[in-house]
Amino acid sequence: MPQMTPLSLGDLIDLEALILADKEESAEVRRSRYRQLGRRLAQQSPLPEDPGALLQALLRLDPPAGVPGKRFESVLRLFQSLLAILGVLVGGSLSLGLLHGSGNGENPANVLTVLAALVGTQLVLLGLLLLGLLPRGEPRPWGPVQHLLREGLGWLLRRAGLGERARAIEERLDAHCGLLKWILVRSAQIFGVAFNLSAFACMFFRFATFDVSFGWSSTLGLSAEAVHRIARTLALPWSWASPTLAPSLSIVEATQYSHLEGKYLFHGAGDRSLTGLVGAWWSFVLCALLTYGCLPRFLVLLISSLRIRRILAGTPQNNVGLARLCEWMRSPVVSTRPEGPEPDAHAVAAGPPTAEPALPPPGTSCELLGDAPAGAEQALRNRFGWAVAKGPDGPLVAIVSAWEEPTKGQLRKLSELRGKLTHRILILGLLDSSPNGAADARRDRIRDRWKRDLPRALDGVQVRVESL
Amino acid sequence: MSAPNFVVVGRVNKGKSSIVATLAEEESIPISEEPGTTQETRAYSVEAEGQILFTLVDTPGFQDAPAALEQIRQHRRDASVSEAAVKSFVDTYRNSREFQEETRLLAPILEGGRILYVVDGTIPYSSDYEAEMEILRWTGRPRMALVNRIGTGDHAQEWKKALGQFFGIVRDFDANRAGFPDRIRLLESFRELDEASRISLDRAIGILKSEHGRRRREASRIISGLLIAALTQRVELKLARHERAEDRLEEARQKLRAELSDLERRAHRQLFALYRFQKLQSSEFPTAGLTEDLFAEKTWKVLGLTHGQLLAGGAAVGAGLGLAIDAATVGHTFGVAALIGAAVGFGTALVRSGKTLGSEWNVVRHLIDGERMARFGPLGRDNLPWILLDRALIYFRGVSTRAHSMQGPLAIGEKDAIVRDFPAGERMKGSRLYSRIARQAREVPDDLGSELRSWVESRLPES
Repeated sequence: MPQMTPLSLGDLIDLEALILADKEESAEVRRSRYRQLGRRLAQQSPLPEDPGALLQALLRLDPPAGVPGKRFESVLRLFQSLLAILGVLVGGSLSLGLLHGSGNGENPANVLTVLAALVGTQLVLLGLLLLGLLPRGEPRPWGPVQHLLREGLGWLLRRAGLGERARAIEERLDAHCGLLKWILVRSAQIFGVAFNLSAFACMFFRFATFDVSFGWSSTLGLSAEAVHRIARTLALPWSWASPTLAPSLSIVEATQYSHLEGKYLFHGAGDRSLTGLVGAWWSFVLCALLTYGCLPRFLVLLISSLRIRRILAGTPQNNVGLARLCEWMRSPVVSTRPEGPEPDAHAVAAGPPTAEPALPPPGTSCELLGDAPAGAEQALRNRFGWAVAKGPDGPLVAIVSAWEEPTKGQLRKLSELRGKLTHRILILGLLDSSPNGAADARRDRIRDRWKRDLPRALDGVQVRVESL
Repeated sequence: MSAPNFVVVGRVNKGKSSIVATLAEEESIPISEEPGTTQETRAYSVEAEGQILFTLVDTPGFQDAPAALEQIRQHRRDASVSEAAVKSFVDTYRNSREFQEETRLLAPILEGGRILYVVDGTIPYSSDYEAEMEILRWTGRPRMALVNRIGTGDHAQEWKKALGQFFGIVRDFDANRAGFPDRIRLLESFRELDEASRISLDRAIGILKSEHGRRRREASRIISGLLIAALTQRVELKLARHERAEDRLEEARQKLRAELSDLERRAHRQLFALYRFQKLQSSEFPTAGLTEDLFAEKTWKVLGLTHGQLLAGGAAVGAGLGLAIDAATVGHTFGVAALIGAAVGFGTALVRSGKTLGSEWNVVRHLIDGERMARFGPLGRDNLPWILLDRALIYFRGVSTRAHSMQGPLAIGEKDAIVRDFPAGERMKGSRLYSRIARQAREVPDDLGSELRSWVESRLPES
């Protein structure tokens, strides 16, 4: 498969704006307009086969009013920058807050609180996010976080002057494999990564510049063994690298702390000489933050970025509206143009039916006109019992095809007989020379037309039209 | 490089206007059983954005060819001046009431037109046509004879023998039945006959073929859009304080039905417009045999898949999901998942098939800005999309194969049902796609929509 040019998010917004702008026009008008643009592009260089490149060329030639794509991208960058700044502030202040007062060795930070705040909450949020990304049977409203992010982005878009178009563009973005959802996921991860990096950096700074002491305590009556098991389980992803990165049972026992007594319960921990012991948690806390905070957020950020890229790359071929746009630009509009004014409807007035003379009886001699086709004599004998003979009084019989409409030529020739027909009857025999000779509505219609036209051409003459 | 002009000539009421209408895809050309409907010549240019590909000239029929031939003969000393003799005849009678039709039909030929001579192959050949053919031969212009079929008889062979003596190419061309391939073949035939128009006709053929492909793709977009709309259709109703969602079910059902019927009508109208049937579109869809409403009992009996096909489809979809699980376990489940999936799919289809349409409601309550809302829909997932597809394909085949010369309503009926004849594999594929689309929460992803479109395009009848 040839390499396809991916659209940028701005390109897609611009294209959506183009589609939105003329959606009220008829398909024919839009097709004609985009073909004109396609032709203008083709005059500059051959139209690219790659739909992404073709759509980008279209945008260069005919950008939508107000270039909403660029403005959307700017707003999104601003939105994500604000989220990143917010993440840095929240992450930093939270981590510093959690370690506040633990630098003198007498009021240690509770490891369980630090882990719950920095790791536990994030794991729960991550779990909820993954659940939210699973396909669901029924449409549900946006989740609270996504709703909040969407509202925030929408507010910024409106402030940026995209106004009414903002909501429509957001909805259209959702149509591209849930692109808006992935943009919001990515934005949330930017916040998450900033939060975790800031928390990590602030903690590291705190560890490096202060003598931070850790302990753990719980009113739930957790034993040191249980806390050790939890810590070992959490440390599984990195403990293979160095055993010192996971707290040993002795450290866990030594750092159990009672707030009531204001001291470590075993080994006299808390003493300045045992700072190594009480501070041994710091590497575990940093590793936990990296593994359960930073890493998943980085991964989801990467996945959402790749997903957005993939959607943007596939959209020109897969999206019905954009594929149609490409086709309109490439395919010439084929139409039919009648030249000159529309002809007046030609209708022959029916007129009153003409009374036909009676048929001469069987045994009558009739005169056959002109070069009668073979079988005419036989047909007259069979149909009327007439014999063919030249004579001045009997009926004159003209034979024409039962399948041919009366033409001016035939009527003219028959009208030339007028001189011969002052006292004779003219019988027009409609001969069907086809082998089956079956009843046919068309033949009946032709007979009716002869019955209408012939008396008019031979006004005053006794004429009769008969099928043979 | 000028575009070729085809002057369509012949005796009255032999289908000249029908041939022009079919070749130009122009339904506005007056066509009538009344002879002599065409009194004036009128040109119809088939264009691609302002550039003429070819022009078809509709002409009045020969009315007195033998007399006209006699007149021309008087100007013709020998064969080398035949064309001049015809020209002289036209000049002489141009403003006269005599030979009005003959001069009108010969004038565009003498201006460089190529001749398409039309006869009716369902009536017996008669030698009195030879005067017309002789006149046309004397014009010296490239010419082709078309044996049209107006009635039911068959005299084509007699005609072809006679026509072969006057025309370089003789072709069968039933104006009322000619499809796209027939039209292209006709242009290709003329291309062989007339070297001068070869480049123009090659271009025209290329453009018409590409337009043909575009229309099929666009038709598949229209139809797949309708299917997606039906499979993801929802209606939300605000509930009063003590109202139950179930109390509003009937109202929701009516809304969904009305909306879907409207969507279907719009889709069919788009198909009509795509194939340039504006008159047919504006009429009240006169569909003999297919007049029933989408939700009529008869529609559900004769269209869509049969009961057995639906059950097999359900089992196949379930088995497919099970197979995916088997594959994920690298065969450790020994195909049990596929078997269970098939049984569940079959069972589900069986249960659903016993229910009447509209009883499969998914009622979801949720709060929007503090309001209690109930969401209903879609109408049904099993046979509904198949029936919609069937009806759309029937209409597609009806308009895509209909010649623009055809008068009267689009004659289609239950015998035209299409989807029941799909191969089992295609039915399974369709069921899987429907199932995947129906699971979508909001918008259907582009790639899934694109997959459905490609599948629909592959199932479009030949046109």
